[in-house]
Amino acid sequence: MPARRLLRHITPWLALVTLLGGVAVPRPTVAAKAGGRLVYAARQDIDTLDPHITNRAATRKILIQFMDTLVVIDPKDGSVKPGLAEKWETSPDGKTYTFHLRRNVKFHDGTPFDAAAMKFTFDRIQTPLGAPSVARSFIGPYEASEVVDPYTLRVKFKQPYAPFLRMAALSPLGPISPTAVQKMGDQFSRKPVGTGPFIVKEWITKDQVVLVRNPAYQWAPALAEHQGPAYLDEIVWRFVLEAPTRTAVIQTGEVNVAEDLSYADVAGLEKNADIRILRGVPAGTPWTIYPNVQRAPTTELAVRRALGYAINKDAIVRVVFHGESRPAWSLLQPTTPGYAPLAKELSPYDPARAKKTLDEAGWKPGADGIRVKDGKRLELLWIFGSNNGYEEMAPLIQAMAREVGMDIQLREQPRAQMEEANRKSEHNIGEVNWWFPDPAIMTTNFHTKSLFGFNRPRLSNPEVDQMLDQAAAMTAEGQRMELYRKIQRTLFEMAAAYPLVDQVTVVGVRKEVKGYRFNVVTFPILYDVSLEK
Amino acid sequence: MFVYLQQRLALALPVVFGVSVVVFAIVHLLPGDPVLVMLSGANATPEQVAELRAQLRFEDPIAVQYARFLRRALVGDLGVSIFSKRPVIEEIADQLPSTLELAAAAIAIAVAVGLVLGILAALRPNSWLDRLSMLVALGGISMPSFWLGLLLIFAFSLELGWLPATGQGGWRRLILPAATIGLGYAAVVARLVRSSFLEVLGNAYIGTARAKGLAERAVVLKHALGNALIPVVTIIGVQLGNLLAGTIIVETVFSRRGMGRLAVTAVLDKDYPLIQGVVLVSALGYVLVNLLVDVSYSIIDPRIRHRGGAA
Repeated sequence: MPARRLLRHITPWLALVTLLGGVAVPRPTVAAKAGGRLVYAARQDIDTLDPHITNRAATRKILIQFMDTLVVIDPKDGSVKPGLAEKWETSPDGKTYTFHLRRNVKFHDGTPFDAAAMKFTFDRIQTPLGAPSVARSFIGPYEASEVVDPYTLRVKFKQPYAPFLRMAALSPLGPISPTAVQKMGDQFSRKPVGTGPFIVKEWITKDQVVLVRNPAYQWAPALAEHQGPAYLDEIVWRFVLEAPTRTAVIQTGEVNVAEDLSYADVAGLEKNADIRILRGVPAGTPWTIYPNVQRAPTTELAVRRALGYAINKDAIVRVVFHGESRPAWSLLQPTTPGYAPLAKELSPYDPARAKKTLDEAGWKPGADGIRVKDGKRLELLWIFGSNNGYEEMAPLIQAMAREVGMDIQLREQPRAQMEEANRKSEHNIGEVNWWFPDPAIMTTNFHTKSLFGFNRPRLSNPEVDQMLDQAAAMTAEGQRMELYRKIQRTLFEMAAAYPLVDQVTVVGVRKEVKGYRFNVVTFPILYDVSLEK
Repeated sequence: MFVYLQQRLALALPVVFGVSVVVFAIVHLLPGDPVLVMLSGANATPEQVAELRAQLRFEDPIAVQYARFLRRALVGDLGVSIFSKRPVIEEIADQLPSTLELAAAAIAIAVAVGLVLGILAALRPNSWLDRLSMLVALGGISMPSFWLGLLLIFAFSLELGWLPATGQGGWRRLILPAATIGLGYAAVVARLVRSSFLEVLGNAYIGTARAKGLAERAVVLKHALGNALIPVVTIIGVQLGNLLAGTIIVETVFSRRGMGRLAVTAVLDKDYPLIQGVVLVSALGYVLVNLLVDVSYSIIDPRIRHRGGAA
């Protein structure tokens, strides 16, 4: 057990997004003291610091400290606010975006930020830099950028791409210094150069990244709580992969902030007067499992619906999450635009109804309590990933399904093998969850073109595809979100997904840390943080 | 002596070669397509997969890939990490010193604690001291390093506040992780020292030494210790593999950088060049240490040197 626990904590985890953004929380202006060194205990190691190469959320948490983005997202309501772009226009066909850029912004190396630098950044994402990165998927059907004048940039897409405005708030699409890229070559990935409030000083692999204050910083996004340079002199970003170790070092004071604390440790830490526990709900999708509609017996609507009725989400919250989260009823997290808690009505916990549904579909209880139809037992294969976060939920749900006569067989596989098995459609139940600021993430989960990617339900439904495409092209925000709610209703009626529990980020900060905030996907915004003894 | 060394080296080469073949083969025979693995974080299209596959030249026959790997490895080029895009040799050079430091400290603790416990136990066989020493040793062997590490953090960092729990730099940050590995290892050494000592103490020359009227201290330290040490030196060499494996857990628990962390990341990412590099370098280290062990025998016991030289 300890070894498995250990492995769970040291493994990279599915999560998608990063961005600079924040909330202007109206609060009395306390004179925050400048200076000091903040030590941050991070759960995950990074792969690179190059925003165009990385595939890890762990890296993007650091990117937001030293990069800015064209726009930012208000975590309160998901609305898009000015960042390095002061204003912008979208063409009626949703294929062209025009950004009017802020002046007098400089990269850490002194290079001025302008439309040409932004074009350079977007164009670089298109060049092969090794494994295709999240930057490439964020920029979508990018065609080209055009420098209209030094401070006006026109970005064109091959197809209408409504999610782009929120994607432009993600740090992998933030501007990087063209001169630094040319001068540094391969070394750019070790010490990248952006425009943000901190500067990368040093990355010691497997140990820490050190960032120092950018003294020239005068272009904080409107959502920030202050203007001018950051308060902290230095951030030491340490990789402390083990959850028990993070719990220990936040108590000894070796670190000022420890992220992703184990849910089991929270109650104990809350008794410690030196530590505050902060909770955030990242935008994206909840912990969710999906039935494979292309492999029997989950091809049957009755079986899929019955499984939905069999799952007691409250029990999962209590047992696995120690009460630190809540049941999920939407395909999106509550902080994501388009959130619609429809499963409450369409797929509630109701074991009696589950049994009735199966009875009516001809699945009759067999000798061992497992239902049988046409000589076949009601067996469902759940291929769950090692260290993917579902390993404690899986046996619990297995027991719940058994109550109504379903036999869920659990097979654990390393994540990479799980992905392959999912792509080959070998599973009945798959799992995936995301951090993502836009409901377009549903295209990743349910569109025919994602069958090769993360389409766990193996859904290839023309009606769903058409609605997803339409939503991705809509520029009117209100109508667009209405359509995403409609899509969710359709998917719940098809029983194509079971959201289980909302994702919740739990962070411990010591009492001297002031001004700590989460961005829209609960990454830390350290720009406004100060240390006050 | 030189001939002896040459012989040992000649024997070591095929071992290293064999390791490289096995490592290369195993990685390529495991299930899981490396290209798909690399793309699993991104929502890749089949075209992107094909593009990357061609770029990495996984389509060449395995033998061709291996020949390429070996030719480069011979000149110290272990390829480039798929994820960090840095030369594997640089990645390893970054991590190796930290692990060497940890391993050296662990061995020092193991030998010091093991020798003391073992000798104490052997000098008073079946006394309470013997029983206690062996009980401690048994505890050390049975305690998983994961658990012991967290216990030490709990006791010395959290409760007593004497030592930092994590990080790098300075002996204070080295003690807890080194003790975590070293104590388990000390247990093995202690049991071995005890039995080896008991055996040596039963020899006639010990009786002679005592009969000459030598002080007990001189008998133990001068006449018995050297002879009792040979199996201890052997076990240190043999156990080095376990010790390196132990660093994987310990480096993670104590958030230290090092080869263990590198190995874990490489395996989880299926970063083929990095896995090959880490295993190859570890195997080289293993062979090297065993070579040193062989050489040290000849220093401790001249009879071995003469036998080797004559053959």
